[in-house]
Amino acid sequence: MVRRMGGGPVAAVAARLAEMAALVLAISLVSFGLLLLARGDAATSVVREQGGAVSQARIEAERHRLGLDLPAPQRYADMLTRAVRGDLGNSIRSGRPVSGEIASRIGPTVTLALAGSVVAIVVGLFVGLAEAAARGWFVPALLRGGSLLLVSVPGFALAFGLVAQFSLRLGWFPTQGTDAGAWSLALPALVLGLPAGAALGRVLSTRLREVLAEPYLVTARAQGHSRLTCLLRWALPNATVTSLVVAGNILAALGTGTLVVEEVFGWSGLGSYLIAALRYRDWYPLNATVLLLCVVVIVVRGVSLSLATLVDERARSTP
Amino acid sequence: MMGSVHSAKRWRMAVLSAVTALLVTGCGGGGETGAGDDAAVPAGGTLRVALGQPEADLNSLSYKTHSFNVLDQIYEPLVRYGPQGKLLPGLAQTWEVSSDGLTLTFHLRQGVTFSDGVAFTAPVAKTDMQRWIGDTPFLGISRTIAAVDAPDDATLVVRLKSSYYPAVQELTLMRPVRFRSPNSFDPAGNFVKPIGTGPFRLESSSETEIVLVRNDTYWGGRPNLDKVLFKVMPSSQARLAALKAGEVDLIGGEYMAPLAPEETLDLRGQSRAKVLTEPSSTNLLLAFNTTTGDSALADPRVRQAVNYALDRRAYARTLFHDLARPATQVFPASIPYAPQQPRALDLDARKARDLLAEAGKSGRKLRLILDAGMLPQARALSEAIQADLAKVGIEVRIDQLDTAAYTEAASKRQYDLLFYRTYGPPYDPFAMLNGNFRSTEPAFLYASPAIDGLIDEALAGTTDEARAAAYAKVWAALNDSWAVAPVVELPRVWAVGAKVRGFELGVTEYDLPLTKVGVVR
Repeated sequence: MVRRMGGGPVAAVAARLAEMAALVLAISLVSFGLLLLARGDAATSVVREQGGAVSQARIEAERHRLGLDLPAPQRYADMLTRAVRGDLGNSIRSGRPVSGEIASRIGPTVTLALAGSVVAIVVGLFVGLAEAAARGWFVPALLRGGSLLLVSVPGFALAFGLVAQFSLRLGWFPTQGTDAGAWSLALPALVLGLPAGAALGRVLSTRLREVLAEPYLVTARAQGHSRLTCLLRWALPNATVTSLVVAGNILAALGTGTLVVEEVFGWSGLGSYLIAALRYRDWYPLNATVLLLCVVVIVVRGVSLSLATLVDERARSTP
Repeated sequence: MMGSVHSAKRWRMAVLSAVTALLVTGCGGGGETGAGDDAAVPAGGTLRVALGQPEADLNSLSYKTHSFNVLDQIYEPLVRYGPQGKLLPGLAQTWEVSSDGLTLTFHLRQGVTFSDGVAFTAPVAKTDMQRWIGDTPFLGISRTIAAVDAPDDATLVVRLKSSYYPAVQELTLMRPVRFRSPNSFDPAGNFVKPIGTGPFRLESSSETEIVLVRNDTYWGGRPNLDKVLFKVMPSSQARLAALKAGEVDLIGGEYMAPLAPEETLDLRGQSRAKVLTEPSSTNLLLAFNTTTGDSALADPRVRQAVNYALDRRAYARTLFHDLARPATQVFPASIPYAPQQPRALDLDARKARDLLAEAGKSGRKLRLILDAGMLPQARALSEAIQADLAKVGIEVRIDQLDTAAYTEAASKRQYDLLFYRTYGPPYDPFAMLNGNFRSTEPAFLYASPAIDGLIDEALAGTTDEARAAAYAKVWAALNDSWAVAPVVELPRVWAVGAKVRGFELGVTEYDLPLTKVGVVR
């Protein structure tokens, strides 16, 4: 994390941007390297798609045609210089410019991630507060067990469970697609948001219980303030600080969580684009999508950290 | 939009119409190839069809396209592949093949226009064919055509460099041979728009759906449906759920929206959808690397032992729920010139062990490379085979790779065992033999100079009898050398919603005949 070293906010922002650029460059280099190490390349995929007997001669001819036989550093440098000029290259699979393809797929993913975040925050707040406010052992245990279950269930299993119940049995929502507007969004948002909300709830309730046990709140309780008042008025703002940082991490992960959801619900977003590019070893779309997702993760985490700094004085001195 | 009351009502309607259909046709359950009765086909409407993956550009000239069942609505061939491989008229009403097999004369159907109004004539067809002749080396007809002539508007003459009987059959394929309007291309010859003579034409296409509308000028009579909507649904579970919920009307098909046999169990005995199956047109083979694989595989006795170690009946029953059948020949009997009698290849572990002992090749370790995406049961099947081979003393290591990595390993011949699927009609048997059983093809599954000669003889045969005799020799040579281990005959599996009327499976997995289909709404 960036430490503030005497400079003003401009310097801090500049330092964070520089850090971001370095990180993005490092990630692009790593993903390029991983793709080089992977068996098979886009030429293999093209020939495979053409059908017939796949021979090395055919693959090599295709490799030459696509320029994949050029030295790796040259190809990487070429990609960088193009990217600096704002050209993200063309997809080998479709032959179309990557920038256009990404633009058409960004909407569904952003919609999914935002809706998932809303579900996550609502569920997180509810679970966290309810667990901290509840008396006895039963309700907290139930909530804890429920969240543990939600966090542990794989995304696709949760998706099919919800589809079986709410689409096939009750007929409330369509099983997939985007045709039915908000109704189409409900199940994917739940699949994304429920596990994230459960995780968020766990963090929040633990923190709330810690804060509730602090002397000043014990005193407040002794003075006759109700448990609920203590919880909402003093404990929640206090617990929010640490929870915000965790929330940033969890919500940032939603961006990658859409991968499974898009596949299952047939949404044509960045997740399915990334998977297709990876399977095809299609370097330009792969690189652009990975970098975009990285930037989003970095920005969301940065924002949540800044918010935490704003809310709590202490976070400014201790990074 | 999707309120519970609304869909409860829709559900009742669906049950009602399904019950009516059952009463009318007097049949239920899976196992048929058609759905509903033609008398009750309602006029117009939209058919919603699931598509497993988005389509690049619907260019029938490009090998990047794989949505054959969509292309089949837009583009048409000169000749159609009929049941049992009988060739039927398409855009050509009749045709003759000269006695030396070198000249093919096609008499074109008159009054055919592309959906943009351009007339389909011999000169137009010639220009279109010249876009791919010589360009597609792995396609026999592309390298065999010497010239195309259009002596008049109704006659197209194709001259071959050498006698190649599959030439006419290859003209039934989807790509690159089906005809595009001259307006499909810009002046520089680049493909810009899909325009064909087929029963439907493209209205719009995106990453999520392809919309086709009726071609009102279709030569074969007015197609019944107003619209065909192909909806992209990558997950097979999601497709099944959508069919059950009535959100799509048709799923399945090897190249469209594959449906696994175990998924059909979910549809059995319920009224909202019906499973349509057809016996096999493709075989799943276990191939041996006899050149750069484990040296034991060069010994025919070892390959024979593997053949006797496989419990094909158990695979067909447990992994394919009896929709597949044990395969004992390279091709299923429905393929032209394919062997009609099964071989006696029942499980015989003792015989397999004896053969291995006789060859002195017991205790071998073999590497099976696997692309799990090739077939839903691929992983389970490879584990079953692993267990069966272990019983006779062959240890198998399963190396699961993704498609690109698998293709790389297979093309570099870095494997001992791999699964291979025959292509199915209209490609088989010639294309499969040409590409995979010739020593001149570096990626061959099994090859020998003797078999090369026999394949040449079959492909050059100018009479049916000559070809049948030559093919019989090919099958005998492949079987005698234990070239591969046939595993199962893979079924064709589709499922259709209860509201669809008049739907029947196409002759091949590439076809999707929809002109007579209707939908009850």
